[in-house]
Amino acid sequence: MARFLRLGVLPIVVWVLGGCAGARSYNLRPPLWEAADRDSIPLPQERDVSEYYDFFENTFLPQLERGLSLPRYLRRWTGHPHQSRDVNSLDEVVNSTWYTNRHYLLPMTPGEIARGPNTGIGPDTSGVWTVTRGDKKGVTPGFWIRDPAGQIYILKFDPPGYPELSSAAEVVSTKLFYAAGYNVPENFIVSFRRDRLQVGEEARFTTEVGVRRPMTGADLEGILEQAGTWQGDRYRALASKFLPGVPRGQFSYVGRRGDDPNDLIPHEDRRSLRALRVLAAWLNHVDTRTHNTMDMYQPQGGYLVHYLIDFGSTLGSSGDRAKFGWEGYEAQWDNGLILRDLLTFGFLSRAWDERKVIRYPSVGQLRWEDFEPGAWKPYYPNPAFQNLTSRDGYWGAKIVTSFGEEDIRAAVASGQLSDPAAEAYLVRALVERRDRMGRYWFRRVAPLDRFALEGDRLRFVDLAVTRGLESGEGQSYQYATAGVDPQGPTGGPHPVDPQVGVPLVELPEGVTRVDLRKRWPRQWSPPVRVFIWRDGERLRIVGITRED
Amino acid sequence: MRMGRFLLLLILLPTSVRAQEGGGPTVDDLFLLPFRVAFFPLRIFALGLKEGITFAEDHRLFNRVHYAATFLHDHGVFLRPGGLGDGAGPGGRLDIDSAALFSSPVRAVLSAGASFRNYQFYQIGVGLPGGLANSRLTVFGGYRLKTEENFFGLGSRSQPGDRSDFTLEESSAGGQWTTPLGPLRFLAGLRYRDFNIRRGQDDGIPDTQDRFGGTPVPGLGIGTTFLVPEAELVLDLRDDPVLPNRGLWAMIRAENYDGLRGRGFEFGRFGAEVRGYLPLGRPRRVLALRARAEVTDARAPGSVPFYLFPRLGSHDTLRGLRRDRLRDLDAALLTAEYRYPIWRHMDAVLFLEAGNVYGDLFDEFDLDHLELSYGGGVRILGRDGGVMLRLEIGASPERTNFILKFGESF
Repeated sequence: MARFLRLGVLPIVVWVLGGCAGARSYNLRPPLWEAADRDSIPLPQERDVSEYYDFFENTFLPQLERGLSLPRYLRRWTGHPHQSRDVNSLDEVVNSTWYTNRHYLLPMTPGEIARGPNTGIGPDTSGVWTVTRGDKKGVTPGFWIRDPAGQIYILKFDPPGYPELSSAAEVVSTKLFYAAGYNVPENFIVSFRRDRLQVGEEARFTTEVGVRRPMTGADLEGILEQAGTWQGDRYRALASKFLPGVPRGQFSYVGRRGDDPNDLIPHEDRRSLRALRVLAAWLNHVDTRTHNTMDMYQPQGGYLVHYLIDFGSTLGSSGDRAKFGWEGYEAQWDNGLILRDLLTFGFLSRAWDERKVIRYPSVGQLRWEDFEPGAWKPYYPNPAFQNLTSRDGYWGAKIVTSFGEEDIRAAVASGQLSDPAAEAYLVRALVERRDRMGRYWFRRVAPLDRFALEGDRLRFVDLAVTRGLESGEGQSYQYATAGVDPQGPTGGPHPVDPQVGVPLVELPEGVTRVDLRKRWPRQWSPPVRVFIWRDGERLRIVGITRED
Repeated sequence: MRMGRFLLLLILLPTSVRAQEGGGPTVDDLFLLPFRVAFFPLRIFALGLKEGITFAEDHRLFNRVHYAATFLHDHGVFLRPGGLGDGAGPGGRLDIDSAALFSSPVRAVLSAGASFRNYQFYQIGVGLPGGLANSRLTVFGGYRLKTEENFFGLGSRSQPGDRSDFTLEESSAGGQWTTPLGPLRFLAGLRYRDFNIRRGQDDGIPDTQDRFGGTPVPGLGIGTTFLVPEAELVLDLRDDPVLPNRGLWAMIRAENYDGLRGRGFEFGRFGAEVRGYLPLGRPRRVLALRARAEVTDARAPGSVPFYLFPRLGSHDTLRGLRRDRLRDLDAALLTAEYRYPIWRHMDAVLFLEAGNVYGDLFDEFDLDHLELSYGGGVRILGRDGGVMLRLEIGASPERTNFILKFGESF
């Protein structure tokens, strides 16, 4: 039997797990902060992923295959899931055409958060806006304009009966996603009178059935009538500035783009996309699908930049209405829940489905009382989200919790809700959801962070405590050391106070691993491993890994 | 050989989107290879679906269909699948309703339908005020063709192996007067019904004339014409007629068939049905019960043509039996359905049915001699909240049926 195990099963397990063996946990070279993904490439082909097929593709067959993937289960059970590949030796995401470290590593002021990606103040109001394109295919009315400065914007209106809902949600989320580090369009709230608009001579209109024809004043009136006025004779809309570059279609949350040589990491293995689930859950961005992304080719540099677009279905908005009770709690077609309900003969209820909390039409439905970060679901499975590990989740949570109440208030203020009570409610919802997010992830991975060498000590902070999620009472910390290169003796565990730090005076030459753990009243956290290199008198952190 | 290699390549390489996107095979891909071989037909289907959906989106076909359907609906034209009765096979019907075109107390409805089995249905109806408040008088005329009607012989002892088929053609005309009385609705009418019987069109089974030509089956090969006065009383106490959660529905009906053509065909028919809906704590979790009986008053032996006998065995009655498996003068049926929601737009159902046919229901009914059917399935709900499509499996000691049917069972 033992021989069988040695010869048969063990090699298979090793082979399966071998697929997840990552690189060495530390690197003596300075940590990488910029990805080399801005090489000049030929203009990639434009692609248009089918909206409906994307739903089918992600909902059915791949989910079946995922359920049958024994190697995946083995890796998860043995604590060796495929870790993200766009991170550096300090377990941080590298800046790239996908992501730029902003608020967590380089704290932004509330003013900077409120400004977000905006480089101006929106459409130029010194003259009329020329309507260049209209479309009647969507549920939310809208059209394209060119302002006197020649800049193109897409104007989108709020759904009837819910003034300010989707425009506010879109702007607020844009600011927060930008501060979190993602590439997003410049979105503005605008209000204008009818005489601000004129239909351009070259304007085209697409009817419900796809017929393109010259746009008329009647077409514009139809859209405006559908939109309805906001205050008096003014219309309120979201103005989304056309992204810079040449549009090349959506990116997928799985695989790589074949015609982009800079795209070296499978998208489902990017932490910036995996941990987007954490931010999306916080902001209730249920519509995180391929169709709401955009690759833009930058002619100056000759590379693609990857954007998240269309945040109309975030917070309490579902784009063309307020969110229903189930949104965020189950997928549009939820294989697991349907099977559960089928096999339990309807005895288990979907309590969330029957709840409806719409206190302010301009906020829609954004609950926090029953928000469970781990159970949150987008409209349909996102392959990058499904690869989320605890480390990725922790990374996302530390970004989410880096937004203080003032930061959130500043972002919410940019949504220009006319009712102060609605604005206060939205701030509270985001603060409560943020805290729930932090408490969830900071229990799965030790929330010890911001490691720094000060003199001969390794200092760190407990994010759960510094962010007010835990009081610190009944908690303690300990560390242990082990020589890694060269292999050396182990020491500890010893208690340690974060404010005092781990003493490093007796650290030998070479690389030593310092394992830090946090103790809650009833359990120890998994360790955070900090690799410290002593080169003579010089000490340097050369690696951080977090166990989960 | 080349085709084999091509198929193998299709299985090995583009079995995941990631592979299509330029990623190489991984440990997981290799492990999943056997499953992917097994799922290969699904993958091919998915690829076809992708092309189809992409084409439809590129050409805005979904928008066009929706727009066209909305346009037609707004102009009183309703297209819907099914609607030709059990056994018709894939088909659809078209209704043109004047009420959507103009407001008038007189309402005209023109209907037509056809299926791949050449079942056909045409009808024109004109409704007008019936004199009393909310009462309506409807006059109508129509034609119906059923090309593959089943016949297994008469009585509960007929054998499944005796299956045969025939074509039934019916022309009808008449008038009905209906009036609501609170939760009650009363109907009185007179119909002219003309039947012709021809050879069945299912080549896989013998024609009824060939199979039963040597046995005394009333009406075999004989056309008949009847004048049918009828009366019906319905009590409707359901909370929602589209998808009831609670309440009661009951109906009694009487018809008299006076033969105008054919030798001595004359009989009366009485029917009663009660449906109850018991809510079980949640919306759409319901125990639905139904009891139904039909009794024929044959004025003389052989006075009822076999194609007008009460029948059991269909997508709504004894779903584990073949269509029209049982025929006799009387019939009784009991159904229990446990319905529960599994999705916003889908319910699941478990059902148990018991019933049989009798020469005389009151003399022969015996709980120990009921044919049983049981099964379950799912029901897709439409925009109006009602059942749009049923996908069910019905089983009985005789066979198992897979059922795809538009509309609610009861």
